Amino acid sequence: MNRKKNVDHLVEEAFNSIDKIERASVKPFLLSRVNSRMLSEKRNSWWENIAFYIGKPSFAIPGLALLMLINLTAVVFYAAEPSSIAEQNIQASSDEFSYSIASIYENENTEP
Amino acid sequence: MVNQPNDLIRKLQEGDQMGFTTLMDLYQNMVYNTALGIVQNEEDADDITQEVFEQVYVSIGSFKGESKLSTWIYKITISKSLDLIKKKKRKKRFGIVQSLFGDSDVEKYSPVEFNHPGVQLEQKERASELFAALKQLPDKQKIAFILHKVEGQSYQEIAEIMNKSLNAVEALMSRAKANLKTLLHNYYYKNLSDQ
Repeated sequence: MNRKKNVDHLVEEAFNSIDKIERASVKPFLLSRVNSRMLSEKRNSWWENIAFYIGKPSFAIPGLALLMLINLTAVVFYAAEPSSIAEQNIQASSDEFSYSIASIYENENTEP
Repeated sequence: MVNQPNDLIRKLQEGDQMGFTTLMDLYQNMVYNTALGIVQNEEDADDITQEVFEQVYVSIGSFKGESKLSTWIYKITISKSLDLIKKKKRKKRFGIVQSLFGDSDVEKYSPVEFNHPGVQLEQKERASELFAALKQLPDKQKIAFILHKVEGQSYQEIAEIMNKSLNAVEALMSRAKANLKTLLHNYYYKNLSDQ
């Protein structure tokens, strides 16, 4: 009984605690802060916003990792299997410049 | 409170900087205190106050004058404050998920005791318990209670701010009081038994 009375009293006190509440004051220089906030938002163009997001470590690090992974994959695959086109190109250039043709000195030496 | 400052609205719509300064002088405390009552954090209330005036500056052109300027500003303040609470709740949920993976940042999102700077010293403890209970109310009940008890608005003004009928506001207030009583009863019963 006594406990219930106590609790009722505390609840009543809590309800009355804000009866004479006063207004809290805003921090000084609110106008300057609002103005500088608006100016800085104006400055942030679309491109600046994109740069801001790309520059974030949460975006930049996985992005770079992905690019490196793509590069590594490309290097590993192309190094392991040289394509037939590349081989043909090497063959064609070697034919064209006739690496196997002997020099004039050799021709000279073969003559009797 | 200024009675429908048409001259001020006209100045603001023309982009007059002095008009904006006057607007801030008139309404900064109203905005800050409403936000403070809802979000219960001085830093957040300060941020919201800045956002509200920025929004007012940008959107004043679309203000038709169908309601009082203060009513319109109250609406913006309430909407921004509720947005921030939602954002914080999302962060808190994300923090809990992160803590499951070892990054325990939950601490910084955990609720802290709020002491309203306008409450008299001898009432601080009870007021803090009341604000803690207030946090647990549904949004509409919380807004109605704060506008009436903290901002001293009449039920009629609250009805205009919340786009509700007078009866609806009365019902909201009575539910808010009943719920607060239950929450406080439970809190004190638990605390008295712990001691």
